[in-house]
Amino acid sequence: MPPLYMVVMGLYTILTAFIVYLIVSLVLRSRNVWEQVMAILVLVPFAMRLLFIK
Amino acid sequence: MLAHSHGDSMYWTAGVSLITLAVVYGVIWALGKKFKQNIPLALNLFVASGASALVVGFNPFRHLFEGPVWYIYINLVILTGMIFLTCLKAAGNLDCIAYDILTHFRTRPSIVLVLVMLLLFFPGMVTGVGTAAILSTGMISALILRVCGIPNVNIAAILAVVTTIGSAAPPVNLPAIIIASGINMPYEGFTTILLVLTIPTGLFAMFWLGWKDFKIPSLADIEAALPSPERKNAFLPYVPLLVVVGIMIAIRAFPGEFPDIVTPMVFMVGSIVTLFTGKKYNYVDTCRTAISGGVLSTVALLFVIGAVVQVTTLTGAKGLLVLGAMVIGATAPALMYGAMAISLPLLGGVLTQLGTAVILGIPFELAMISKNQIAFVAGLSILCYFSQLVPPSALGGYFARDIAGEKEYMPMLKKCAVPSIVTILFAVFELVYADQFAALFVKF
Repeated sequence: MPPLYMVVMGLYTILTAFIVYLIVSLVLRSRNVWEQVMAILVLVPFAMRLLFIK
Repeated sequence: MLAHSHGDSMYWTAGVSLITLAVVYGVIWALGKKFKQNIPLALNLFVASGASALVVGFNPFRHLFEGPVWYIYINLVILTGMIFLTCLKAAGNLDCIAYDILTHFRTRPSIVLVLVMLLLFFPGMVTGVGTAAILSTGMISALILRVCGIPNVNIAAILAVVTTIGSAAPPVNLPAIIIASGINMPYEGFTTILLVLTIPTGLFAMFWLGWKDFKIPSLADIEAALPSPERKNAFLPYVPLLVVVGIMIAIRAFPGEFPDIVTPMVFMVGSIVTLFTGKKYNYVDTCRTAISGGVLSTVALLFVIGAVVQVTTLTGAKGLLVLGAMVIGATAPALMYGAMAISLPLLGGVLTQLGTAVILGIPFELAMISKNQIAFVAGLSILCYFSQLVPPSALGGYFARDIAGEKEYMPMLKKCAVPSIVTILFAVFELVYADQFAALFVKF
């Protein structure tokens, strides 16, 4: 069994990927250009979390 | 790229940067109004803070994306909290809770009012966002209050004020988190002092606005307004809430023995439990609905506030505001408390409660650093939250008006006046006597 902190970090990575998926699918459905631009501000930090922190 | 200037010139650098931030923000806002474009506040602040660094010779790119990283955790709490609440609603569990409150306690107005207050408090407590409460439990609370004969304008005012106070209640208080991270202080030890500040004022608001017009509804009135919701058994609708509260208590009661999966995961567990406690619904679609609209705007704004904190620290603009607040505080402390009570809610009308926490909350806290910081930040956060009712942004106020079915904003705002003023005065009283409050209610 891996240490608890690794399990929690793994769960967080899965959660972040799920949130990124929800936001991307939401943005692709939206017709409001401002909402799409604003979503970039949310996606960038979450993508950084997903790509750089393991 | 310029190096940090020292001596008198640093005031010029910081001043020019601060003025540029305000001017660019104002220009984008005015352009949005002129061309009828609904430019998000987050985007406006992001561009303005980037411009404020560029104008004094700094390359803001790294800072604009590094600052938001500090806010990933709290945004996960908000998003998962909202997912949990929306799943609770989609499963029909919230309808069951509302029905139970009305049918069991309809002859006891004080219990109904207290339970409605708790319903309005809960989403704000777990997400720190007042609009989350209005959009989730707000609709059911409005229905309960309408069945009890309370006029629409009072319902709108109750939703607006009580969710505003509730969002300041622990465990999640966003302005307090922002101010605490701005002064490098951990967000710990706030629970008791925030409860002391929010529970009495929430009860006062609820009873001031709801007690006089309360009429005991008949069972026929209740059935007509809220048909008996389908449920598997009497206890199941409460299970998701009990699971979430139970895990939170177990983590704190048995440290080291019970795994600390941290708040966002607790909410996700709660949301999965709702799949088995009520109606069938599409989980992924419900999660998508949960994070759309106002919640996404709040999350974006919170990330941008991270960028604003980082950039204003880089340019010295934050330091300049702190210095200004310290000068006022040193010359006339009474003036300082008056400035806090007026400027925090009013400026928040433009910048929202999160923006005002960054721009003014952090400087005010640093100016009064000799007082107990936890008690002082708690008081400041209450003042910041009241900007939810102040136009032009009035995030909480407008949602409350719409949910209650009111057309005008001013009549609702007038109804909010007494409970708002009482809460603000109580918060200022707590700020003045922060050390005495801390001796009683803060363990650090």
